[in-house]
Amino acid sequence: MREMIVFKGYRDGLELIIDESAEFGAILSQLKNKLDSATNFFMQGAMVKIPAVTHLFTDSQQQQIYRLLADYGLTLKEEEPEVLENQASSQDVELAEGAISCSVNQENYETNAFIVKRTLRNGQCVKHTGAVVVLGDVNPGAEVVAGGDIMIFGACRGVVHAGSEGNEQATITANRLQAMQIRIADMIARSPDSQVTPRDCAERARIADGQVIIEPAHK
Amino acid sequence: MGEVIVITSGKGGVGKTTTTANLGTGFALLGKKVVLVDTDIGLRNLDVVMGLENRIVYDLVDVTDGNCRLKQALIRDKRYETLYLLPAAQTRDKNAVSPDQMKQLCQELAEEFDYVIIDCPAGIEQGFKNAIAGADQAIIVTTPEVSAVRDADRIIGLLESEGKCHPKLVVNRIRPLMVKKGDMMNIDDIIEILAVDLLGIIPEDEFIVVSTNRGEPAVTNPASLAGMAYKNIVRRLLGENVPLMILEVHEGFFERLKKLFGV
Repeated sequence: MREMIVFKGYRDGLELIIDESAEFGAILSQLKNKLDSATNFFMQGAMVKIPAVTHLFTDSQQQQIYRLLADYGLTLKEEEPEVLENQASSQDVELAEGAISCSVNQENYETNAFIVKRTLRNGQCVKHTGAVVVLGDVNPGAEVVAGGDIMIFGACRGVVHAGSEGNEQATITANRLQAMQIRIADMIARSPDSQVTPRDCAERARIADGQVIIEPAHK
Repeated sequence: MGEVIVITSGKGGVGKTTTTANLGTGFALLGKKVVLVDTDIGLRNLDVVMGLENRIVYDLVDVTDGNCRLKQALIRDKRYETLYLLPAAQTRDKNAVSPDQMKQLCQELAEEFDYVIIDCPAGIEQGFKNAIAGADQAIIVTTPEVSAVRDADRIIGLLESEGKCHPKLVVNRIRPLMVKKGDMMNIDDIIEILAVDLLGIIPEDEFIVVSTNRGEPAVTNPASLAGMAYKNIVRRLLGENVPLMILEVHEGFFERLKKLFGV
């Protein structure tokens, strides 16, 4: 029998490598066999990472794989999203529309952070279901949308949206918080039209008493 | 039914966005109901020039994609109640909308507003085609440079082949002293090549830089020469007969010295 799927160990759990050319039915039955034959090998609650080949499957096929893994007590680790870019950029991978979204543990969204290790420039946009950390600036015209918190180790001059799926506890922290717009859950605050001298410390924005407030981050 | 005017040039950097912002504000000053549409998807600037960048929630592509209603995407100006902006999307590209969608959008806006002014992107590709699709008339902006006039001529040809005839011309950034010296094309040279109606001339004005950076169009400042020139254009578009501005040549001290010594 041809090996269509291989489990590989990595730091946080297991990675499932799927042969792209294989037919879905065969993949599913082989996966089931493998799981059956090695029940003791797979620890309950182990994390399984599935590489991006899953976009070859339909939603319902993906769901079947996830369910099968869940039956054997394996948790699926969410894919890391890519930075969305305009077509014009050559250095970044475009995230396919309708990329897979796996069910993550909602209460545990902080552990599922996406780290952007560069400055986001005008027209660039990062969307992620968990928290987003930017190691750089967010320039005017750039956008960060996060299901959880947003942390920017640099200046924030763009549009930032934390708690995009309705989490009102989400916060936005930046070394220099001069955002064009701050959105938390479904609230929007815009920058003042007059020039305001920002505090010379890191600041945090959060919702308090039904409005967006900005306070020193060390409070 | 309002009028849909596209502001176009072919060449970049000749002042399309500045012209759009100032004409729109000029109409609003006279109580007209105006909407400015930025079709420069991916490189939007009109919102910055109008000082409305921090108010954007939805944009033109959200409207055409059906993510929001048209009314939700319109941003009312800070200063004038009858002036609105429909901003372009910044994280998309020119192919995100089609000429047919633009046509429909312009029709919808023309029902609501007296004037729909469309800021066209530079170039002659998809963005240009989108911008002119729903326009009733076109205003060509050029500067007194051979390359800008060349591009304006190309644009006039393309507009005519699209059945949009009789575009009007605005010549921007004129420096009377240079024209007088013969170092800059004069208006007659430009009109001779392009053979279109002249709508107005705008003198070079440092205040434009200030107004663009501040997000306050020059027409709102009575001291700005360029602002005055834009006001005149607005009145001409409304059918008034306003003579062209006489651009005084202010000779500098050194010029006068040179003349004195016959250098």
